[in-house]
Amino acid sequence: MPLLEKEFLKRLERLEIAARKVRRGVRRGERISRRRGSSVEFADHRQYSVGDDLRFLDWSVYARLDRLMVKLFHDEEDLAVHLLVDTSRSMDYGEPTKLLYALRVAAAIGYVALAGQCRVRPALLRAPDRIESPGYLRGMGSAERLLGFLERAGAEGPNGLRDGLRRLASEVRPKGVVVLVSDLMDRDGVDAALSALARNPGDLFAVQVLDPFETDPGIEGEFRLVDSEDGSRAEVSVTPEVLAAYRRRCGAYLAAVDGACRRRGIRRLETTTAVPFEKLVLEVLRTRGLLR
Amino acid sequence: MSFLAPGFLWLMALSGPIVLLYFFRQRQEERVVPTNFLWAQAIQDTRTAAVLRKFLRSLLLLLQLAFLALAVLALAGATATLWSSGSARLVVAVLDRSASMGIADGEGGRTRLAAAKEALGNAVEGLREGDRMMLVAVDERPEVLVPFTGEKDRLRRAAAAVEVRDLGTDLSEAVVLLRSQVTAAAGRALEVIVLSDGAFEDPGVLEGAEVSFVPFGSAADNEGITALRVDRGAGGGASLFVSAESFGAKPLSRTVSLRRVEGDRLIDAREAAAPPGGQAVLFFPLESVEPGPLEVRLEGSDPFAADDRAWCVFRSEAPRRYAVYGKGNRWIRDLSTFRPGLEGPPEPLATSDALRKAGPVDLVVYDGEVPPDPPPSRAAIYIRCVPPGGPVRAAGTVEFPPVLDWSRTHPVTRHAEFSDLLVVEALRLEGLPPASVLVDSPRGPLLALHKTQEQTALYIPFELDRSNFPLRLAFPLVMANALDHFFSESRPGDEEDLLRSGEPLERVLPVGGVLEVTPPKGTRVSVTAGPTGRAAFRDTFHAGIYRLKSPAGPGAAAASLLRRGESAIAPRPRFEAGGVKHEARPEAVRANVLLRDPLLLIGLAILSIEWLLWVRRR
Repeated sequence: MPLLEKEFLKRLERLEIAARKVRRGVRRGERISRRRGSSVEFADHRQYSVGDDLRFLDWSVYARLDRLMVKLFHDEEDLAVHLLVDTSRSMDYGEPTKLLYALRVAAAIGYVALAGQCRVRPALLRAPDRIESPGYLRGMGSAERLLGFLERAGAEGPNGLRDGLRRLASEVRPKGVVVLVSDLMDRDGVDAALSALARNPGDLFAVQVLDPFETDPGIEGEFRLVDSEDGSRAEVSVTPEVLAAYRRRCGAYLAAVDGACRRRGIRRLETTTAVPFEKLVLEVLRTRGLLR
Repeated sequence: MSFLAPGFLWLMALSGPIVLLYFFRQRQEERVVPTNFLWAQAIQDTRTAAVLRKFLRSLLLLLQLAFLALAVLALAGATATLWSSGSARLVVAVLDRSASMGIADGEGGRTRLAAAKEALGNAVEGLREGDRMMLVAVDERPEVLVPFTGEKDRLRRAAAAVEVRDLGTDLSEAVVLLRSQVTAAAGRALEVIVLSDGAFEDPGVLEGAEVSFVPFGSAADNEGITALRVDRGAGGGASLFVSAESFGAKPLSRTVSLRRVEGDRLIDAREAAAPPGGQAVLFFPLESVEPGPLEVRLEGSDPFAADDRAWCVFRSEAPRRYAVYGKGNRWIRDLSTFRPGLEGPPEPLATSDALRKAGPVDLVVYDGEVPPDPPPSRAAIYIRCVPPGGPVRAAGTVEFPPVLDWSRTHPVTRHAEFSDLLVVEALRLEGLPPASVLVDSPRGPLLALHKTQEQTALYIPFELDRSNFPLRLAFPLVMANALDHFFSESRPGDEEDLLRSGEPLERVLPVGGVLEVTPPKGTRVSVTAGPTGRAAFRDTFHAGIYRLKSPAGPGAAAASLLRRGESAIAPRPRFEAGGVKHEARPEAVRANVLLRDPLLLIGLAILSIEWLLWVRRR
């Protein structure tokens, strides 16, 4: 089954990436750069100075104000969009799995980016610090590659978020938009991982995908809970008291993740696999400023 | 806590299956979760509550285990120690194993000894760390079975091995032993627990010890054979003297039968009748009875069977032989006039050769002279002479020695009067021990009986014709008594007719000869004759016929209880020691309380609670 339906892809083509920080690209794209350039979109005037291209003198202003002003235009640049997907075994949980949900989110954002002539670099974060990526993709012709790459991704290994992001920050140092899709669940905390993410200069997004069970388990009885990542077992007598304590702990953890993201300028979006994927992309991501 | 039946404690192993079943029943579901660290934190947050919750959830299991534990403890006969004394104790347990302790008048037909052993077991169980107990078994003598120890197993084993012996009870030697232990205790309090039916005489004062008397037994009325004797008449005839007595409030009216042991053949039977507390005396003539082991039986039954039977081994007596050496006198010519059945030459023997040719004799009367090499004889009468080289010497003569005093209780002078004895002249005898003098004068003994290992000798230091002794009634009495005294003793090779149990069984054998004894209870024992030629078997603790085998051929010996003190079986509520009364204190050995009933009650309560919980949870 494909990650995204064709009908949905058509709807995505009407969206574009909304980057707060516009970064210089390597190719001309559809993005309007703050660099004043040679595109047709007027940006501003400035006083003429010797050496300026006379073609950009605004003669109408000169006629009205008797002053030589040069017309400035936005330069159009391509935008790099980095899609980082956490593929640890903890993501392989739920129905649908968090990983599938995360891959669909990444696929949707990537598709929107390709449609907007952005360079898209999908990457799977594997433990310990391995990054699987097909490299930069550009143009709608790469959409199939993007989707195919993401469709083949499977969950494996423990959480490699921190080391993967550190390696990414040191080797790639991505600019543009960086979107991390993960459950951000780590018994050692995600501060280190978020710090590594924050070392990147681009617009930083963290889409935290959780399973409803994680926020509200709704179970009661005798359980031996096996950690999907390290296989450790916890024998738990789940009672209303324990359940309430779990909810408190979970809420506190998510609040801590949120605080850590805020401190590092990372826009965090929390969702669960219970939220319809289309609604997430078409509504939530737009309202949260990642898409428009 | 201790246990009467610790074997049941193995049932505690059932707790394993119960716990396993409980946990299998819990069905713990295994579930894979993305990560469980938040759960671990939640558990940590609720740890205190979780402990309580686990406890409550495991309440059923705990109740089941508690019930199992209580049931097992009850089955194992758990007992609790109630001793409250603070310091370590020194306890001497005196366990009576006399014949009367074999009376089965206890609960469920238990013997007094069995009940005493159980009580002793309680006392042993009641010992705490640091306590020491000595176990002394007592019948007519004490025997220390276990010296002071805290090893309960050792005490238990020793107590279990104690068996009833057909003996009486005499605590006097035990009291001497206990006195030494009081001294050895060096200031520590010594507790003495006497476990007995109390059938014993005052053993003497016992100071410095806390004495507890724990009595056993309930039966009081009994009849028993208290005396048995083979009386051999002067003419060689024999009869069996039997005394049967009634002890208690019932008159004696029972048949006494005489039986041959081989084949249990009835020989004779007589009726014995006596008022309560009275005695019946019976005689069974033995003239027509063939020699061999005989049994006298008090027919019928009473609580104490051990005194209803008595045994003897009847033997035909070989005639006793005598000789008179010397010139002879008219008064001592034929000794058979004093004691029928004696055989001897009609005339006195004037020379030592004639004396030797007369063959072995039991008695020689030396009248006025003794040959230099007198033949060996078990008995002798020396009339105005002394044996050469012996301890008794003649130191001159004395004239008209007056009679100072005489023994009125000695068998030889019994019933004889010597106040009018006149002696013209007598030898002055020296070397006689004072106890051997029967008639004394200020100038020396006038009649003496001296016993040595080899010979029993009667000394008459004066010539009969020069005294009025033969004319006095005392003369035939002394002669008859002396002959009875001589011949009542067994000769070498003679065998006793009967023994009281506990008396040594002796036989004369060649030096190094082996006597094999098969007791009525037990296995054959070999006894070797020592340098004196005597083989003695001392463990005649049981009444009955002892089968013997010696180089001379097979034989038998008989031992019987014959103790009035034991036949008086009524348990005593107290006993006196040196005039101090020791009342019965059964609580002295009730140190442990059986917990079975309270344990079962608690167990039932637990079952009820569990049932209620189970119903509520359903």
